[in-house]
Amino acid sequence: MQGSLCKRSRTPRSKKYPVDRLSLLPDDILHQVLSSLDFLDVVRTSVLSKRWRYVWTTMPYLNFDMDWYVQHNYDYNSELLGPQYKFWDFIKWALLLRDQSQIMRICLYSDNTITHQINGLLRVAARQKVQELSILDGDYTAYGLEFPRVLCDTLAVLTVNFHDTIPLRVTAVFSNIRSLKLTRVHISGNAAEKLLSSGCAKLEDVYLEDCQVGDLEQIDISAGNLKNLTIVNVCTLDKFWVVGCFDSKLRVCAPNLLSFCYIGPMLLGFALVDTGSLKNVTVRLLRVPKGYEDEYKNHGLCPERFIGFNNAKTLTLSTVVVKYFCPTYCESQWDTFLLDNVNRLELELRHNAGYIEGLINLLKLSPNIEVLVVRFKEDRQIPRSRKKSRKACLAIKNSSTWKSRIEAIACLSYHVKFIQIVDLDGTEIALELVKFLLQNGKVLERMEIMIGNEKKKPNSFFQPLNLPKTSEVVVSFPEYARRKIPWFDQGDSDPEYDD
Amino acid sequence: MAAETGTPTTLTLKSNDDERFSVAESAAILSVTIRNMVEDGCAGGVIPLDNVDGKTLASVITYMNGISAIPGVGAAADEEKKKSFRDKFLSDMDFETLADMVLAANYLNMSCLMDAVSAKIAQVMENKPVGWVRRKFGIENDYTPEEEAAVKEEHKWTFEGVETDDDI
Repeated sequence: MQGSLCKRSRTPRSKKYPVDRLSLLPDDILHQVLSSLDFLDVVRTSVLSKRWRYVWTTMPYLNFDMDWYVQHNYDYNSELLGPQYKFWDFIKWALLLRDQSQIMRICLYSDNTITHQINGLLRVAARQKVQELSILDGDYTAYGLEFPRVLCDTLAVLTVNFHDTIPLRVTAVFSNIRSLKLTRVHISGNAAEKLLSSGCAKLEDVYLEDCQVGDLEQIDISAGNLKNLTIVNVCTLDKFWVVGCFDSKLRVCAPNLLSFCYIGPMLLGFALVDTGSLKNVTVRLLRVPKGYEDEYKNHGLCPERFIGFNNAKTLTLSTVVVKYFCPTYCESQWDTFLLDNVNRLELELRHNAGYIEGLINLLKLSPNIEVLVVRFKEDRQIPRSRKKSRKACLAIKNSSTWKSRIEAIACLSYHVKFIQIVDLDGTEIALELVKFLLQNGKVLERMEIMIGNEKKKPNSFFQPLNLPKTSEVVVSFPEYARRKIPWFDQGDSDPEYDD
Repeated sequence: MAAETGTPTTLTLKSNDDERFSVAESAAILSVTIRNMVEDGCAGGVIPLDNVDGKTLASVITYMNGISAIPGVGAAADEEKKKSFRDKFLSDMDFETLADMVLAANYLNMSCLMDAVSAKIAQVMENKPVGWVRRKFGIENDYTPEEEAAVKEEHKWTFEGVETDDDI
């Protein structure tokens, strides 16, 4: 090993052989440096030099990746055991031969799930009081993952992501959990309580995607310190394949909640309670699927089922939600519904009068907004093969017209200063909306219009329109890159055919 | 340096070889160590950083200024900008400097810098023959051939897929 180095006075070595600073770092810092490496590579550092011989034995960050192992340490020709069995052998050796010092984090990628092995690893993790755990890429297994009591108590970060839904069995409240990210996991109502309730006093971030939550009338999320909550396509077990409805209510009681995002099927109701810190709320609903309208007529949005959204500073609502505010589409009476705390409203529309009326109604209900963003959704391509329905679709499309009118709306008259229109494609209905906003926006200072169709130039739209003289309003057409909104811009997620 | 009320504060950081640097407080507090010192009342004077030399501190300050200039937390586009800044920042560094950066990031308690530098070093080490890694980092092999063979034998459960090294 090189002797101690005095950095300043030593003559510089040639570029070919650098000074070995890395070996001078203490073990715990080396552990951090190596923390992203697969454990296979970490163990191999033992051969570098005497200094490096035992660094791997106290490594507290263990990454086991089955693909990596098979690629770099498995010979198909000479091995008798299948790769997944060798991989688990490797993990067992690793745990056995390292010293028994604290393991902070285990990260497991294994796309060929051997459940009892994973559960064995969970038991080791419990014994070692592991704080962060990621289990990724696994295959379906009916049996499920079992979290021992001690592990429930020590885990601060849990990420589970399987290819198919896997049951998660939880034996105690996760009292130290800070970040929870579950994808394609099935949890019973009981387990949901142990993961999301007030007993989880440190819980800050929750992300649930494609999860099934069994048998609950109401999903209660009441972790007192919760800051960010994202729910994407969570369903009850038996309705999982019917995209569109969810027979539960969602109640979130979290005084420190900053952001709430719900993307998924209609619920029986939302209630955001005691959420004074709330900043951003996004709600994107999936339409009730064709043929199920009667069965799910109770799932429609109405004031009683949309509680607590007034606390948001920024509210983003998708097309399906906006449509519920249209007076002719929905029987709900929104008159007493008020969004007077909302400062910024972002709405998504289709090119149809119903949506425009929904938008206007929402504007009436939000007297204090200062910023309005309107995003037009691309119209779905009409399939060539279905000529008959194509004609019908075109007929409907052509009959949907809407003309601007003068109307006094509180927010437009007194507060809205900046309006952004995104993905405007030059259809008449969109232009009429622009006209409406310019005509009625009395304190409007700036409007930005992002043209969705790159081939068309702004002037070709606006000249024929006879826009009112708006010398105080700066209208600009900034360049922008069209951005796909994840989970939303895929055709299947918003199957509305009868607009 | 003393700040006027209402204007952004500038701090003076002093390295262990007595070089002084002015940094905006908003950039400097990316370091939890510095942030704690400021909260403990060092803001008025000069903040001494005994475990960082001038050359490394200059680089760290470039990093702080670059990252704090990108606004927004959590927005995807900003995260990408930060990532491309980090990649560029680290791309020209030699391995000696990288090791110095690790020490500095650890002392200054800057987790994003630590993660970025660690990932860069790990990327170089990942799945490479032993000889190659030794050359890259200047690690001198002090094993005798017998000792080295013994270590490999001890860990043969991790060397099964490895072809023989190209020699130093």
